[in-house]
Amino acid sequence: MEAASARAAARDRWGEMGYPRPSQLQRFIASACSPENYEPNLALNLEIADLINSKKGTAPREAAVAIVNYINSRNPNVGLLALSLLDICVKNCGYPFHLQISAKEFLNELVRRFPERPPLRYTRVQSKILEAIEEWRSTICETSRYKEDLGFIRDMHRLLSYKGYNFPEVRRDDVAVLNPSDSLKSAEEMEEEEREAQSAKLQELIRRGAPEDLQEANRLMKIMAGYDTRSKTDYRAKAAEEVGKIQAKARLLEERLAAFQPGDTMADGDVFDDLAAQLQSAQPKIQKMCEEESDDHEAVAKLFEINDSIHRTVERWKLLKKGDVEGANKLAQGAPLPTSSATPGKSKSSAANELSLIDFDGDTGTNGAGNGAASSSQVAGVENDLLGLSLGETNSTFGQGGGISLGFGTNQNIPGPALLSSLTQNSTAKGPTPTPTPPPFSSYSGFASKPSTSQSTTPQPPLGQYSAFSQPQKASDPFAALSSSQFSSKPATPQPPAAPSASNDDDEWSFSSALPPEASAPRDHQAVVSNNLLRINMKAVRAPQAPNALSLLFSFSNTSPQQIGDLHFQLAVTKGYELKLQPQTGRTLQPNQDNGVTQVIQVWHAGDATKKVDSARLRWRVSYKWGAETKAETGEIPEFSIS
Amino acid sequence: MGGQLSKMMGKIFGSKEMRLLMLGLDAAGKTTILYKLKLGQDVTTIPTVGFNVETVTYKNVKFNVWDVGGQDKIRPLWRHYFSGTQGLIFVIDSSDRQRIEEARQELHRIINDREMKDSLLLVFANKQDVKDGMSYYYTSAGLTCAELRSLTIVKAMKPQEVTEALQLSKLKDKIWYVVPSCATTGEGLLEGLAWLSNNVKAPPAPVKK
Repeated sequence: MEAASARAAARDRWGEMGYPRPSQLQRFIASACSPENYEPNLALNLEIADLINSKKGTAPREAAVAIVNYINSRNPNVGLLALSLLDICVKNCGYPFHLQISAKEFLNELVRRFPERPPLRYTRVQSKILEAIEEWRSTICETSRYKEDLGFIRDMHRLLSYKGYNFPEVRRDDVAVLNPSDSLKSAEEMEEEEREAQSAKLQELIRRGAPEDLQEANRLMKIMAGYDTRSKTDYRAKAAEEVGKIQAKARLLEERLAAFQPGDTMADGDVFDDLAAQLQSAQPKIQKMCEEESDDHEAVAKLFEINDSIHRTVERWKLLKKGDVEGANKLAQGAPLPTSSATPGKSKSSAANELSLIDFDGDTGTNGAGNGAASSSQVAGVENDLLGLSLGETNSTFGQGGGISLGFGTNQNIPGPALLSSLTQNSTAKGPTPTPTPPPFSSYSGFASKPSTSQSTTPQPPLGQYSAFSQPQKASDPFAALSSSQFSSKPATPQPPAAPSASNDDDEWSFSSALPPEASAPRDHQAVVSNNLLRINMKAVRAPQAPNALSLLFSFSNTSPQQIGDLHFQLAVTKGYELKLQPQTGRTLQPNQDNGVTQVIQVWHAGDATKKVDSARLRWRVSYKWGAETKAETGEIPEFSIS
Repeated sequence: MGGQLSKMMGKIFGSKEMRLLMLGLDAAGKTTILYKLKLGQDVTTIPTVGFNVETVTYKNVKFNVWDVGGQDKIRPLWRHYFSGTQGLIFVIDSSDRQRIEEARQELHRIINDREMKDSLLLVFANKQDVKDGMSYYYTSAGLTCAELRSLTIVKAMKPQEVTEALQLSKLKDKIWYVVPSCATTGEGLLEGLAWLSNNVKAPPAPVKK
């Protein structure tokens, strides 16, 4: 072996006197390409790939240079060994190695022994090289995320074709490994991958050292160090997109299973198998993402939902694949749809699961209706959680007063309008299912909706006055797009609420008649709502054009020397009243800016504009960005009245 | 090939080329040193985001000096510059005792890297002119000059102190040298370069193409 490497060193045309002792990597490559091997030493080749991956830095370049030397060896066996090692490295070392094989010097060196005109017959080494170049051009040059860095491969391919070289056919399946995998990646993994690629590119740019490379390196450094955030990718959004793709696959499988007839059989490697395998491989990833996103409860909840439904779909696929026991069962029951009752016990439990899922999405509809007043306080609890506002006092009446029972599709067996799409969309998709058994819910239909259309999932009328709190920026949370919720994409415009039944207005909040006579009430009322970094002043007056309403003018001032951004003010009023919100005049406060943002809000009697509002009690919540910090404050404005 | 040939010629006719990497904490004075060497004048610098590279010729030796920003966000990127470096110039702010420990950690992290094992180490104990503790640390903490004076007078560290603080004597197989310097006046800079060119190994480790 030593002798071989000594010979190799002697052949090395860059070998110089006093050349330092070869590195471990070079020694490994020397023995992998030694003519003493009768065939490629796969174990050693993989070890070399691992070594390159673990050393990073200059290792990919070192390896590429060493390997191409052996490829040009006079001994064709050495050349073939080196080519198989090159193949392993290209397929296992990722972008850092791709960057090296697409370097001009490398490619020139690779075809150094090609004659100017194509020979009548290619040598084995030549045809292998041509095959490799064709392979790279049809894979990484097309599909890599960084294909613009690999342009020289395409140029070399063009040059060789121009000179008359013919490229052998490559089998797509053999080289598919070079295409980016479509397995689910979490935000962190994608970020890591990007960092790796940037790192390799920076290293290469610094090594090349031409002025334009150095300029590019400086630019890249700014991005890598986080000073230049313009080109920064939103990895969470990308991850959400990835999850969306998995959902689409799950939906597809669900549909195929629905169309599955008892007589059909599933073969190994068919489309079911394929989809189910992909879903199964995605599950651990989703679980990992749940951990990574643990600070964003909404996202975690959605991911869990998705995971659950994928799990159920896969389970169903397994049962169906196993065969006919369930099928016979279902036939005996005479259920027309094989999907819903493939396993009666199963579908029941899945229906129960669906229920709990729907709790998350459109809780008010199902819960309030199903359990009536008994669960109403619990509903209100959920509601409060969702809104982040504690309206505890109204709990006891909220269930009824909020008009939950007005929601459509309260009974899941009655297909209602598509308001509760998570419940009903699948029944419209599959046609009406009038069977008494619970229909096969497809929880994916709810996730499919984009933020812009997401209102449809939520039973809105009863939530009108509360949803006015949510602002569009909530929907910019990438994971919000996965599933629609009350928080998404509802502009802060007044929303006519469904009129709650009048009897419910007589709650503890409407004892304003016990106040002193009107004459003693002040004409207006001023209060400092909050006085921290952000000072909020409130002035309550009677607007001439709306004498029955309390008009509240909120003004926001910045008391700090730092800019305040993303200001988001929310207000809640006690039951029986409703709010009409004018949009905030802005969302940013310059340092120490006084009254830079204002907002006019009117308090009306719910559903009755002719009744005069004398007093009001309010709760507020504000969130904003102060420097890099996101701050949130809440509080209450004690009861006040004006004439 | 051509580059190889000119290197050969260089060897024969005695002109040397040396790749130097200049690192150190932020505000140590790296960029000021680089442009003092290059232009011979004191320039006003802003924090380096990225790097600067200049060629300085001194006593027939061509020094390619790479000056990489020292802010903590950039430090993880230093390693990309290690490859092929023959001499590391580590610059410290001698008046900044508060961060000398941080500087020591960074220095040891650099020279423990495999790529840096053959490089020389030159430490510039910079800012020797700063006598009363107007260090980066204090000014960045928002203290005024008056407040600074009321604090214990901090004198710039002498080379001996720097050697101890950086624990240079612990280094095995490393040729190192500490030079007191003042980037604004240029004091000590050429002495450092001279030391580097005298100690660089006879055949510079060839960077394989």
